[in-house]
Amino acid sequence: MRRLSKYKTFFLTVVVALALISLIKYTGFERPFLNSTEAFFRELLAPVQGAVMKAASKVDSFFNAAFSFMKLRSENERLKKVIEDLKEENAVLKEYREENIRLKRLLDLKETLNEHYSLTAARVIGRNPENWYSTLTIDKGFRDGIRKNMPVISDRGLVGRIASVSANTSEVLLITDREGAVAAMIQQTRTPGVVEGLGPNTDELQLIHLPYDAPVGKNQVVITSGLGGVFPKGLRIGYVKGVYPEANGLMKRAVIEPFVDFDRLEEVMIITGVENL
Amino acid sequence: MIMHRLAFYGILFLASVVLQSTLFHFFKICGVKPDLILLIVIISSFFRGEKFGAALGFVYGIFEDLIVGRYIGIQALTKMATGYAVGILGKKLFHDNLISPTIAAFIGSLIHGFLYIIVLFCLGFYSNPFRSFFPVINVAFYNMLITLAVFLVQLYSSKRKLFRTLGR
Repeated sequence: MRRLSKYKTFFLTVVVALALISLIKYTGFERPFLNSTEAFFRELLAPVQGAVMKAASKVDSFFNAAFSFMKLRSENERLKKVIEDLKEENAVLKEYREENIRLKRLLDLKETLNEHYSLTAARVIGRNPENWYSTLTIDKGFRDGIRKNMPVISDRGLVGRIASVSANTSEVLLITDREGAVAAMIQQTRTPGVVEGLGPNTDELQLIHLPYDAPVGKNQVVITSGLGGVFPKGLRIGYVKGVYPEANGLMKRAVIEPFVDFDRLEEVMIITGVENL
Repeated sequence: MIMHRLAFYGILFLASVVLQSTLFHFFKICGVKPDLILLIVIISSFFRGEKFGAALGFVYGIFEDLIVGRYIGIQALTKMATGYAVGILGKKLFHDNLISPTIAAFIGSLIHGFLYIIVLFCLGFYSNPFRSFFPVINVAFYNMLITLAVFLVQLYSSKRKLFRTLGR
């Protein structure tokens, strides 16, 4: 009896399977219409599916918005970092550009002056920490052929002279220092005088020892006179900003605005030798 | 009692169909969504044996086919066979742990997927069955993970219930 039931089950399974296979074969191809049973189930589920889908879409939009917010936030963070990096890179590039411009000017100067002077370029690596002295430190020293009292210039004009030298660095005494006096003259009138610094807190200079009747006027260019043997003749110093009589009434002095911006000096040239002047 | 059970499985089926045709669309991973109807067949077969599994697979499958409206009988046939196979497998595995139903879900999903492809291929509806192997494996993994999650939740809630009872 049990065996018979087993056969029955097996037989039934085979019949069902065959029936299903036939059904699959029959319903596999595209049919123009669903039969009534299929249509009934489809219609029955459609409103529920519609409602759930609508709700699910809303939930999905909410989560999508939340996810996109998080994504945007992380992207924003990333972009901020990129901007920072780019700013840094930009600053470096700007720095290179400015340096390039300055070096080009120095190169032009070197080419212009090469006929008369032997020049060595140097980078400003430090300034005097005190307020009382106007000096700066450059990265060339004894080993580079730099010696005391060599004139230092920039592309704009006279900077100063070498005050002391170590193996790899030198200290430049600026013309704005009270001890950095330079023998000078007015370029147009050839009126001689001495240029010295006005004090520790100003970059202005003064041309002193001018006779009372010397033809000195505003905007006249002041250059080195070559007297004293330290600075060669003809280096540009600045222009006359104002002329004032001295207290004794016999002399007068001119306040000079230097061509060089001493606060922004980054590269200079040292005149290591003077030829054919 | 039988009516209750029928109603339970009927509601479970309807809920699964609705969820699968709507919400699960948003939970696709690697292009596939979990097959909840198949999972119910597999888990039921695993715990209640091959005859129940085959019967449930057939009924769920035929209703699913009627809803889908194409290749009517394919789900009935494959789910019936899967239910039967998992029912036999369930007799050989220890029930009271997490791993067994998870493995059953994975193997059952693979059996169902490959059967589906083979039947359609044999009937001339599939030109390249190998192309569908990856989705089958993906669905199997997805179903396995869902089973694991469900049983973990069940284990956690039953433990809490046990602790609450002991606390009293």
